[in-house]
Amino acid sequence: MTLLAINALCKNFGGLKALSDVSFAVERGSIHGLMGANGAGKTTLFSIIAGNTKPTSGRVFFDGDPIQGRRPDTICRLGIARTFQIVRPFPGLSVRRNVETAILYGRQEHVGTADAEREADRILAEIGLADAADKPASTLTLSGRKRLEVARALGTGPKLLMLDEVMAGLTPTEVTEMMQTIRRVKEANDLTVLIIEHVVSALSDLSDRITVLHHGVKIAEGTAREIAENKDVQSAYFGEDDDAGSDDDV
Amino acid sequence: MIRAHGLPLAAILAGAAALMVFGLGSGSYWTIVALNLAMWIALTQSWSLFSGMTGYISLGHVVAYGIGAYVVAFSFKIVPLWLSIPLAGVAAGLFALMVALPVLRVRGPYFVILTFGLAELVKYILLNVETGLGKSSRLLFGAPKPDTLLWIMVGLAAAATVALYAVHRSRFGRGLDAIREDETAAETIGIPVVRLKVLAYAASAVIPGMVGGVMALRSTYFEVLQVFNPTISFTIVTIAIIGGAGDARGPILGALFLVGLSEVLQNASPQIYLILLGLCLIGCVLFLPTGLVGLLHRKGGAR
Repeated sequence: MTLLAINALCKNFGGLKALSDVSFAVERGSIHGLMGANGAGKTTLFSIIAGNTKPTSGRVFFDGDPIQGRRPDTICRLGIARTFQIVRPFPGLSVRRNVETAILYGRQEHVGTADAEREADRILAEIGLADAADKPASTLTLSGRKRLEVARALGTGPKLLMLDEVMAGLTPTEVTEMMQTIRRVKEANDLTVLIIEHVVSALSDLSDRITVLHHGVKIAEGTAREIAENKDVQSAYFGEDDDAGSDDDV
Repeated sequence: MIRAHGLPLAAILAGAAALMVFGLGSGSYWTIVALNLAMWIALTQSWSLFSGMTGYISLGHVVAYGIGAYVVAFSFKIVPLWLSIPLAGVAAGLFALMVALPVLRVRGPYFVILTFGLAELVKYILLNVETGLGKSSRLLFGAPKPDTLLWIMVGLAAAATVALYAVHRSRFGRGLDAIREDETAAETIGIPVVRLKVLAYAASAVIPGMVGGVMALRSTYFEVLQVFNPTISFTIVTIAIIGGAGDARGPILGALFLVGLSEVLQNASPQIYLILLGLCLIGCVLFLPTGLVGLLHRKGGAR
């Protein structure tokens, strides 16, 4: 069963084609990886799905309904939550209040303020931020802020969770912990996950399927193994020549 | 959260109320001081409901005050005051609602300048309308006595304070907080940012509209240039900065401070008053960004 379908999506920024004719489907209950070098169009794709950016053409279907071009707050209440690659917590609010606000506004059903506070504490415990609940979000470490991004996204009660490089900049130990957290919250909340990640080993480990973008074009899709063996992916990442240098991101 | 750290709201309210009651019982000078105090509290609490909550700094709040004053002066002796004063609030709120969508498209310094310019624009439009009607000014003979007006003003100050206090605790207030912190993140977690901003902007104009109406009656005289005086907008922002716009106590502290300073110094030595006020403003911006109210809970971290 398809939860999210991307259909011939294009996005031009002036003369630059950030996305050209991208199509793929995300299965309900799966973890779907998005791979590609900087500038491949991954974050643009996230922004279009979440409603932060309007596509030039093409359609996005969520649960069978077209959602492209709708407002971000509407899309959020339909059940799509995203995190930001450059984290955007509400710095002056407490960690708990950050998540509480998402619970109050992000869900289709009405939640009272007292219930929201309890629910926020439950999510913070689940994500490993319970100890920091009363601190201002601005005092968290990078790892803490990335976790808060995930906690706030979970607060909106999503069906689809879109994670934009939640592991970038973390230490190897923190990456391992974050992967465990992602698996755990996915199972516990019955989620579908669409994930952008530059840490390729982590992405291969987590993802049921991977879509690869290169300069705004989809060049491959398949399981982690299929992607690793794909000639187009290899040439995009390593160049045509066998002796070409390696990419920092890989 | 504003859990009872330091001086609670109730104590500050009681102090301000005592001053005003004192004003009622002790002749015209104190009545006028109390009326001014109540006016600045009402105006700054209302301003704070929008600008303090969302971080969009309005430097043109006098536009609501002026429109309200015009409604009351225009309808004086035609519509009874119990109706014309609320109408002044409605008119100011409707005006804000009407201009909110275009005005709220800009942020930061652009918004500050735009609100200032908007108030000036409305001032000159009404000035032309009045000239066209052959009225350079309107005398309001038979307006209620200051004692009566003080009661109304105290009521408006109380209403504005309660409104701000309630918004701080509501779901609506949480949404406005998020908009102030990061508008893009706010809409991404489901907050209808445009609707909330427009509502807050319109709501913050209602009480200033009524205040303007009452003040027109207080001076028994209406002239466009006087009621659209930009100094009123500047003073509101000054009170909010000195007192702090973080919660409902700040504007009360700021108004007490400003009215006190002005009563002590403005007649004796207006230059020193302005110099001191300027120094206080700079001092607060540099060393006390949360205003006087920040002193009450220095240790209080996040809200």
